[in-house]
Amino acid sequence: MALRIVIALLILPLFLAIPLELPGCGPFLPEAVFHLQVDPEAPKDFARGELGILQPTYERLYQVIAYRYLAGVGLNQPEAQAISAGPPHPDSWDGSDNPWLAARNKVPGVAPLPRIDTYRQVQKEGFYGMYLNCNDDAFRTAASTLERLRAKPYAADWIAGQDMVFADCSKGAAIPAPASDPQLRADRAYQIASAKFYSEQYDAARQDFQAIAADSSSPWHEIAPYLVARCLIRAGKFADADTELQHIVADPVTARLHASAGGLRGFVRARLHPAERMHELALALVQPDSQATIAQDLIDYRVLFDQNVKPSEDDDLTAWILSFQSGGNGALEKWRATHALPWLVGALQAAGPKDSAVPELLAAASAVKPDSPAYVTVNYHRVRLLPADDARTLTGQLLKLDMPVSARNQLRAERLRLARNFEEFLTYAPRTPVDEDAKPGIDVLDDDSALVLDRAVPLALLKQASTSALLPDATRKNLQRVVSIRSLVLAESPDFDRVFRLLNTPGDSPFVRGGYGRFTEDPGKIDNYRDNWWCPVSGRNREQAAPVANFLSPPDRQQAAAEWTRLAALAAGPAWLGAQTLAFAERHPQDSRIPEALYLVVRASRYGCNDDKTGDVSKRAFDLLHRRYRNTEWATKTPYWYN
Amino acid sequence: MKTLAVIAGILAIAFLWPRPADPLTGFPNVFLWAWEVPEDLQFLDPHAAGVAFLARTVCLRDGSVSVRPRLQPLRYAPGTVLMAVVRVEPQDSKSPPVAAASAAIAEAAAIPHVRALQVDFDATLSQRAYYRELLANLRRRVPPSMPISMTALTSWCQADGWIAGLPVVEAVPMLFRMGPGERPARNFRPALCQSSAGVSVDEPLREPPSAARLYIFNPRPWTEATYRAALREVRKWH
Repeated sequence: MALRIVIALLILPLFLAIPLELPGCGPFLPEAVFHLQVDPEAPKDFARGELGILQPTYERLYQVIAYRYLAGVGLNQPEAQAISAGPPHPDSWDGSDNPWLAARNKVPGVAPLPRIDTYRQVQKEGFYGMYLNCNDDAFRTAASTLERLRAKPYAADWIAGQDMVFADCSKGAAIPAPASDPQLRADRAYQIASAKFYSEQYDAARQDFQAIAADSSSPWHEIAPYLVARCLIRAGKFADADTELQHIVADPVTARLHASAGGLRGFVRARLHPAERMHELALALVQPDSQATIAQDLIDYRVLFDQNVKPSEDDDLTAWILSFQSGGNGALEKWRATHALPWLVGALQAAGPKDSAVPELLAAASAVKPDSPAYVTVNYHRVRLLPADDARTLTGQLLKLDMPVSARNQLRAERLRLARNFEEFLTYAPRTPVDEDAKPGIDVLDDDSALVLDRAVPLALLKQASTSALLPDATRKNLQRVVSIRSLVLAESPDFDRVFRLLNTPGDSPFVRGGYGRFTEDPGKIDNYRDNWWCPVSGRNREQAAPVANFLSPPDRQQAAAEWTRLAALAAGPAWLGAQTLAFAERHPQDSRIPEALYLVVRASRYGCNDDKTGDVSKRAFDLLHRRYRNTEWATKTPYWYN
Repeated sequence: MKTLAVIAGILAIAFLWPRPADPLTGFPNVFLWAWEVPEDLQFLDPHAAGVAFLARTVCLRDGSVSVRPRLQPLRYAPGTVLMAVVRVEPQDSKSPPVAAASAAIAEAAAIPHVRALQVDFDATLSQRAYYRELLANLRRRVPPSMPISMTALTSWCQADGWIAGLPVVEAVPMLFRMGPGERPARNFRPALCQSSAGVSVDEPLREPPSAARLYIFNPRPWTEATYRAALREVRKWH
C-alpha cells in the first residue's frame, strides 16, 4: 500500500504539468516585430492623434484617421469611440448568445432548441456560398414579441409559428398556416411574411408586408414599409428599394426608422451609383462631429475602395490615400500646388536624399510644429534626407521625445545606419518588440544589427560586443555563446573537449540571431521544433553581399569577410559535429567519451538540421558505435541511425 | 542459373503483387484545396482537377459544437468534382459528445454536388481516441457511397501507426509547413497514406511524392497561371 501511495505521489505532478489547453493547430512560434505593418501598435492612441511614423502599409481605416488629423479635422471623443467600437457585429455562427432562444427555451412546456443555424446556402449552379440570412435584429424582435404574447392563450401557437420562421434561416420553405384565433391574426400575418422572406420568396413576402403596412390595426404596420424595402434589396431591385426608402426617410411618422432606412439607402446607393456614393462618403468622412455615421461610413467607403471604384477627381481624401499607399505618386506636385500637410507627408515619403526637391521639402518639414500630429513622421523623413551629421543631431533630439515604441525603433534603426564607430552601433542595436509576445523591459536585436554582427564584424569585435554594457544582459549572454562556438568552428583543429560539450548543447550555434532567438530557451535542451545547433548557410545568403558597416576599418572588413567565407561553407551542425567526432574517434579509439559522443552524434542527426552529409555521418557513427563499442549503454540507446 | 531463377521469381512477384486499388475511383488525380478566400476556379478542366474546398469549420468548445460556415464565395465549372473539407478545431479540452460533432461534419455531405468529404483535424495525442470515435460515427452517418478522406500530419504516416484501421478511404499526408530541416518523406508505410499527398505551391519539393493523387494548397487565391504552373510541375512527377 505504501508503495502505491509513493507511486501515486510521483505520478501526480506529471498530471499537474500537463497544460489545460493544447491547440491542435500550429506551431505559432513567437516572432519579434519592431513596427507593425498593418495597424499601429496602439489603435486607440492613434485615434487620439498619436500617429507616430505613419506607414503606407496601414489599413485604410488608419489612413482615413491619419488624413483627418493631418488635414486638421481630427476626431472628437465620440467619433474616436465609434471607430474603435467598430460596426455592430452581426449574429455570429455561434448561437449560444441568441436572445430568442434564451427567452423561448424558458417557456414551460416548450421543447428546448439547442441552436438556430442563421446561414443559408446560395442556390446557384457552379457556385458555393453562404450568407447570413437571419441577423441579430430578428432574434431580438422575436424575443420582445414573446414577452408581449407569453401570457396569451395562443402563445404556444405563436411560438410554433416562430420556430417555423427561423427554421427557414438555413434551409427549406416552411410557412406557418393562417391563424384561426382572430387575436393572433396580425402577428401570424407578420410571421407568414417573414417566413417567405427567409425562404427567399421575396416578391410574395413583399406583397404580404405591403398588406401589413396597409393594416393600421397591425402592430407591425409601421415597420412593414421598411421590410418591403428589404425584400426589394434581397430581390436585387435596388432602384425600387431606393424609392421605398426615400419615402420612409421623408415620412415624419416613421422617425424611429429614419436612421436604419438611411443606412440601407447608403447600401443601395453603393450598388446603384458606386462612384457617386464613394464620393459622398469621402466628403462625409472628413466632416467634424460625424459620430452618428462615421463607423458605418468608414466600412462602406473601404468596401467601395476595395472594389476599385474610380474616385472622383475632387476627392482629396481618396487621392491622398491612393498616392500615399503607392509610395507617394504625384504627392510632390500636389504639395507644391496646395502646401497642405497631408501632401507634404506624402511628398516626403516619396523623396530620396538625392532628389532636387529635397531642400524645399526639408524647409517645409522643419516648419512643422512639435504639437502637430505629423511631427514624428516628417522628422523621421528629415532624418532620412538630411546630411549624416545633421541627421545624427536631429535623431538625438527626437529620441528624447515621448512617442510610440515602433516610431522609436525606426528612428534607432536610422541612427544605427549612421553609426560612426562600433560603440554607436551597439548603442542603437537593441530595440523594443511591439508584438503580442513582447516582454516588458526586454530589448532584443533587430535583423539589421544582427545581420551586421553575424556577417560584417570579425570575431574579435563580436567578442567585444559580447561584454559590452551597451547591450542587454540576455543579448550579451547569447553573443558570448556565439563567440565561443564561432571560435571553435573556425579553429584549424577544433578542441574535442569543446566539441563534446557542444554535442550536449543543442541551443548553441556560431551564428548571430535577431529577435527572440530559439523557442526552447535552455541551450542544453532539444527543441521540439528541430531548432537545434545550426543549419547550413543557404545558397542565397552565401552569395548575398555583406551588409554595409561604414564604421569598420578595412582590416576588420577583410578579416570578417575571410571568416564569413569559412562560416558560409560550414556543414549543418549535426554533420559538422559528426565529422569532428568520427575523426577524433579514429585518432583516439580508447577515449572513454567516444561511445557517448557517437550516441550524441546520432541523436543530433535525428533532432538537428540536416544537409546532404547528415545521413552518411549518422550511419558511420551508428556503425562505429555498434562495431567497436557494442557492449556499452550508448550502443543500446542507439537502435537506429537517421537520414 | 539458380540466381537467375530467384531474380525472375522476385520480378514476377513484384509485377503480379496486387497494387492497392484507387480508393477514389473515378475522381481526378489532382485536387486544388480552396481555403477560406474568394476563389474563382471556373478555369479548371473538370477532367484534370477537382476542388477540395473548405466548407465549414466545426469548433468544439466547452462541451458543445458550433459551426462556422464558409463565408467566401467559390465558383467552379459545372462538372467539377467537389470534395467538402470540414476543419475541426477543438478550442479547449472539454470535448462535446461525438455524435454532436459528427452530425455537424456530416451536414457538409449534403451540400449539392459534393461527392466526397474530407476531415481536417490536427488531433493531438490526447485527442486521437476522440477522433477515431468521431470518424466511426461519421462513417455510419453519411451515405456509404460518400467516401471520407482525412488530412494527416506526416508523423501519423511515419513514426506511429495510430491511423491504421480508421474508417476513411485515404489519409493525405501534408508535405508542407514542416519544421526547419525536416524533409518530407516520399513513401509511407500505412496503406491509408500511400494513395495521396498534400503539397503547397510555395514549397518546392526536393523529391516528388510517389502518391498517385495530389492535393495542392495555395496560400493565395488560385489563378489560372498558378494552376497551370502547378499542373506542369505535377506532370513532371507522374
